[in-house]
Amino acid sequence: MPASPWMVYETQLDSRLFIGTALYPSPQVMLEAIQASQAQVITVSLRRQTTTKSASGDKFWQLIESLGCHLLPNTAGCYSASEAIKTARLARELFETDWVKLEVLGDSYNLQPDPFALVDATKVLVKEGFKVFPYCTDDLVLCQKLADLGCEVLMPWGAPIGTGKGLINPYALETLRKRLPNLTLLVDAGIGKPSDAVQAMELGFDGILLNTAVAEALDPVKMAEAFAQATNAGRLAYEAGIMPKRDNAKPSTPTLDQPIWQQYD
Amino acid sequence: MSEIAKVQVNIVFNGDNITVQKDITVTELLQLFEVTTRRFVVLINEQIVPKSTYMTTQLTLDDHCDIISAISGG
Repeated sequence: MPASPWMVYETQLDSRLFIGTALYPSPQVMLEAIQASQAQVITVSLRRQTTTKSASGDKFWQLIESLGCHLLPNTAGCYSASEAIKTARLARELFETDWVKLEVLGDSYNLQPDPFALVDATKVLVKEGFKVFPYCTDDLVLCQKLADLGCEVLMPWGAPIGTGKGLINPYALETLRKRLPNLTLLVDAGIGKPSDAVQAMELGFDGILLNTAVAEALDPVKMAEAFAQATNAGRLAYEAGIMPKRDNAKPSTPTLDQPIWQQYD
Repeated sequence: MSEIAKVQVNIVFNGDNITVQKDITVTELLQLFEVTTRRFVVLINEQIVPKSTYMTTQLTLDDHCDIISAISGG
């Protein structure tokens, strides 16, 4: 059973998994893995060509086009608001979309987003009509600020990019869900295994964005299928309503009129 | 000054110093370097060049021209 459809800005989606296009062992594996993931949104990036490599960009573009997915360009590698703004404008021109995964990094060790530059860049891009998907930390006040600026979607990290550590701070993510009930929230980065995706979805997150966990699996296509199932299962569980935890045990089998009760009296 | 020197200028194309015919248009430059990528953006001195002006936009001495294209990303 598929989980319920959802809205990302004005676009309705069925799949709750966004997937990246980097790090796969080959273009063919990338293609098959993305298809197996059932993702309808894929992340892409842009770079200056060299005079001798103009054909490689075209090959990639043809593969991407063949998938028929929505494109979410990123501003990866930007360390200032001005760089990210410039990259976003180029991405809009190149990919013909107002969507942008806004990345402004603050530290090269853990690739942690710079919250101050992120806010500065968001202010400018929202005014220019971009649909901003900020890659942010799980800081509640930062997320509230980004929402106030007009972001309908936020993408806090589960853990630093490419670490596969899962949800380092589930409390912070759970708090975001509770305090920002009307925002679309995706966990972006740090997901290592399907159970991490299930955990995030059970917390009430609307979706998952990942790349490395699939691309660097021994079998990326099979792992993509696993993440498709995990993301859907986690969402179904959230929609179904998870029972509350309690300290005292409660028998699941009724004991009333048990025929052997006298033996233990 | 030779006739050739009068009609050629140095520009920077995708980070490389090159010499091209003076007043070369973006369209001519793309043809010269066989830029066949279907989806790309042209920047001149970091400004986006609208596609509709490729045939009329000319490059002058020391211009920096870059072709931006799609790559994989996470």
